[in-house]
Amino acid sequence: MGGNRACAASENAVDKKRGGYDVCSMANPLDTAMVALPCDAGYETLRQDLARAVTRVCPPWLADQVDDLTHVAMMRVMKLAPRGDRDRALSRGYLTKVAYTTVVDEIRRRRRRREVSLEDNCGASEARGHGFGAPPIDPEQIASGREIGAQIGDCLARLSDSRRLAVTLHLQGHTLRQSAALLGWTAKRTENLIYRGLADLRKCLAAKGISP
Amino acid sequence: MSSNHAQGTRDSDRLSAAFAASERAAPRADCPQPDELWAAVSGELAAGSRRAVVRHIAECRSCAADWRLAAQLAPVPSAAPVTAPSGQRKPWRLAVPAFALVFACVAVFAHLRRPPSPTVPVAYRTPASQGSPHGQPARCAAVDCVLRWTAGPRGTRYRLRITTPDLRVLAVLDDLESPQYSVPPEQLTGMTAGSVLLWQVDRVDADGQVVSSATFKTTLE
Repeated sequence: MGGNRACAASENAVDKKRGGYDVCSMANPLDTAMVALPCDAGYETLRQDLARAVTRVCPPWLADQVDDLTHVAMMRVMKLAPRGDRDRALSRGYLTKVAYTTVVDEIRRRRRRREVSLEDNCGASEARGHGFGAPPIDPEQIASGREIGAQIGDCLARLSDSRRLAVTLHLQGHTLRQSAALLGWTAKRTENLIYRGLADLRKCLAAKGISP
Repeated sequence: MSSNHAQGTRDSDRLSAAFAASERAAPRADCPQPDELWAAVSGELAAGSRRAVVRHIAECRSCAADWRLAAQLAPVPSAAPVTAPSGQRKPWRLAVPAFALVFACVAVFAHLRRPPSPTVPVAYRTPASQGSPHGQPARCAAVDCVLRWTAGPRGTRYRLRITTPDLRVLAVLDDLESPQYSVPPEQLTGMTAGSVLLWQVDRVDADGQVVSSATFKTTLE
């Protein structure tokens, strides 16, 4: 691949190991900065690792964009050197983070342009199997699910700030310990806030004629 | 008792599913960047900043979905902070919030005195569908290939990277003053009609803030 060609240039030399990849220092054509690229087999390994990370992050409706997104993610990794992050290890966690930010940027771009598929926009893939009542598999159920979701959002906004934060993380699927750690509160306090917040939320939904 | 608990768990699961099924509007201007969401989920941000992000996802379905994706991938912290029993509290602890309040006032005052810095993303001048990395590519002639993008405020500098799709670096330029770059034909040696350039711009504002563009595709004619 091209990365191999770039790295295999005679003036390049392996100058360090980074995250298990051999890294080349390569003078760019205009000699204005140094670009770090992994060499030879290291390049292919990095690319494959990144492609796996992108594939893992990508929602099914973006699966046909995996190659393009991997290219974009590779370019982001290449930007490490000019930013002075050359010593940052290209760990699996780091590659996953790059893949995540690349994919989310693309998802947001599509949401802005209204290119998002029905499946993503209604959250059906997440809700399938444990949604309100039966799984939302037809448009009517999806619309109903959206309506209930909107009412939950409205009721969330009416909670006191601390209860809203705790309940939000609970609704996002976090455990009590995770919610407490994320909010910087004790488990006991967080548990109380979730308990009281959910009670407020159910009361609010009941007033709207919705009973989960 | 246990059936009540099971019922409560089912109710809670239904609430979570319905919350996830909410319609996702387009991202807002104040949405945290994906790397900030990742940092919040993985506990890298300070607690106050994490709470600010959670406050945002409570009202932004788009970011709530992005948060859930990050939570599936990032290592979420699960160690809750431990606080000392109330009887062991030290009197000097009162000084901490007082200093924090004074510091916050100074910071707010300093922030208000700063001129506002624009955060508008760098955009390609041609229609987005032509410049986006995954849409229909823009075109340019190999002998006169000029890449253009939206200018920032006065004093803005630009960093430009141009590569081929297989990531061969054609040019990396720092400190460009004008929002365009004419690619010298010699840099395109060996490239034929139909070859694709991938390029990305970092806009460096006068106050050092960096805003990156998407990666654009341009096809040589």
